[in-house]
Amino acid sequence: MTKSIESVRNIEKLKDTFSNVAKEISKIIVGQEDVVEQILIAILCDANALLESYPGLGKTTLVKTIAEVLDLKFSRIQSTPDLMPSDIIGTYVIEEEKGKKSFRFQKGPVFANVILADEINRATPKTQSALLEAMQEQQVTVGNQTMKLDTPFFVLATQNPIDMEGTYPLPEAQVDRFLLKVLVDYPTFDDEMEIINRFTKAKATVKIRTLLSKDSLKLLQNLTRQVPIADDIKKRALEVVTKTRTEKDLIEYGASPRASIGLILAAKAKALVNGRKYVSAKDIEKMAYPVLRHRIILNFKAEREGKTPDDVIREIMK
Amino acid sequence: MPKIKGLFNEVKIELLKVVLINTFLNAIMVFFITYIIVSFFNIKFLFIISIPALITMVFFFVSTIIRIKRLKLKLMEDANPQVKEMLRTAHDNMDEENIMTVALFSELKKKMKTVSTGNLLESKKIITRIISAVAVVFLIIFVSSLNINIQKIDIPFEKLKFMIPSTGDGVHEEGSLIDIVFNETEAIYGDASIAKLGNEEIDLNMNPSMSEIDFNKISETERESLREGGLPQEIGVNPDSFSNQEVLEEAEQAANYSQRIKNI
Repeated sequence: MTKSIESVRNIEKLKDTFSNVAKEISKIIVGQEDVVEQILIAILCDANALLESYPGLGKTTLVKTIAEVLDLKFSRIQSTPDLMPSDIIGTYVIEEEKGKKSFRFQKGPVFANVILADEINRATPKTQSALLEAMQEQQVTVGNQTMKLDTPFFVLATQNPIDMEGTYPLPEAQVDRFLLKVLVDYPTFDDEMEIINRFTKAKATVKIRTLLSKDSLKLLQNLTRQVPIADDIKKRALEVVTKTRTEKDLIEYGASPRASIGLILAAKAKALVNGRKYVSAKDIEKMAYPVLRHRIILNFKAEREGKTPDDVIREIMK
Repeated sequence: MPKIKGLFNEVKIELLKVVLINTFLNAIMVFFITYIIVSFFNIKFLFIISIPALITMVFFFVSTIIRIKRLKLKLMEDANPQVKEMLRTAHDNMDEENIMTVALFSELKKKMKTVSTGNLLESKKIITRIISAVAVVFLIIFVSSLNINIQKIDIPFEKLKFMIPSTGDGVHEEGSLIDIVFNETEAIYGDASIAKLGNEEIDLNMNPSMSEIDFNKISETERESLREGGLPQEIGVNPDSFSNQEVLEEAEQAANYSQRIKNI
């Protein structure tokens, strides 16, 4: 009983914890509160996110900072057309010890907690598949040996919406594996002014505090799934997802049941991040965009009218 | 989660009270309105009362059942809008037992107002209903006191004729009161409309002396007084109370009357 009361008290403190995490990240990242929140949501859901932004918006810095605050091992993979799966997963190298030669597995950058796969669409489909398999199974297989990846495991893949020449766009089936597609927009005028002020002066080392341990994060991931949700809110989420399949006037292909799971889970995580112990209808409305925007394919009519996936999702939710 | 179940049970009882109060007030309105409608028909007073009463009873039971089924959680949510989603979530996850639901129930108990009928009742609606009921009552009393003669509607259905008030034997038969054609000449009978009494039964009580007279009793008393007092000692006649002229006139009238009878 005492343990239960103590646990409830800790739940009460969650809002402050997430608020402190956001504050800590804001020491480095100016603005982009929604992006930070969505990345945290993806981490809490033990899922991956696809980040779409123009170059120079601080994606790497953002992910690195988040990893630091959450005490996670960070690694970065810069995708290029000549990137091989072994460059990501790792490879066997011959090692000589006391005149005896043996193979030793040299772990690749995938053996980390937070991975930034920069410009994933520049890697060949073979390399993309290797990474996506690691994302899905949280394990890698080299030769006949299967190795479990360290948990929590989170991949943040980025895509550039421009300059598509020489890229290998991710197939729909693979895109579906990302829980969220986060759009990073340009900062506001005031935010950009702050960025200039912060990064053009003498280099001051900002000390980032680690606020959550790996174990705490795992506990939070477990708590996310326990957030209760009302039946009518669940139905609302399902209605939104199924409508993407029936709205043939604008959508060619709708979202899969994985999207329904993702939407509920993301809404639960959002509730937790906002310090709530229940899922609100607003959580569903807010999370429908990042969960569904990469899972629907607009038809010719919608594209001709210049509609974006977000416009169509907005129409669906009316 | 026995505590949260207890809370919801408590709320359910309060909701039941609220439903009963609301339905009762609505039923009163239904009774008065149906009473007004039914009173336009030409039926016995017993039916004017019993038909609305029956309709009201049916309304009360049906409405109560429907309200209990429909408005289980809604009333409570309306009374506590700040915890609407929380309430719904708690209700739907009552059987779940994990740290998040425990935390949710604990917060819900803190946030929710003290559950009482007063909190759940919508005072504005209640007041409106009471005022409406009172207004309808006054309307009925006012109309009754004015004694407005409204043409009543006859029941068109043959099977329901038993509801029509009777006006004596054979009233509706041929040649009965309603079939009599009155002489419209006002010079003889006065206003013809006054004579049209319709099917109303008239209870005439003729009492010329404004008091009841029991002839047996009077005779009894007279006889007794004679017995008690015995025979009068002296009998006298006042000559002033007697007039020869009057006697003659009366004798003449009697003679005339006899003659006329004889002629018949």
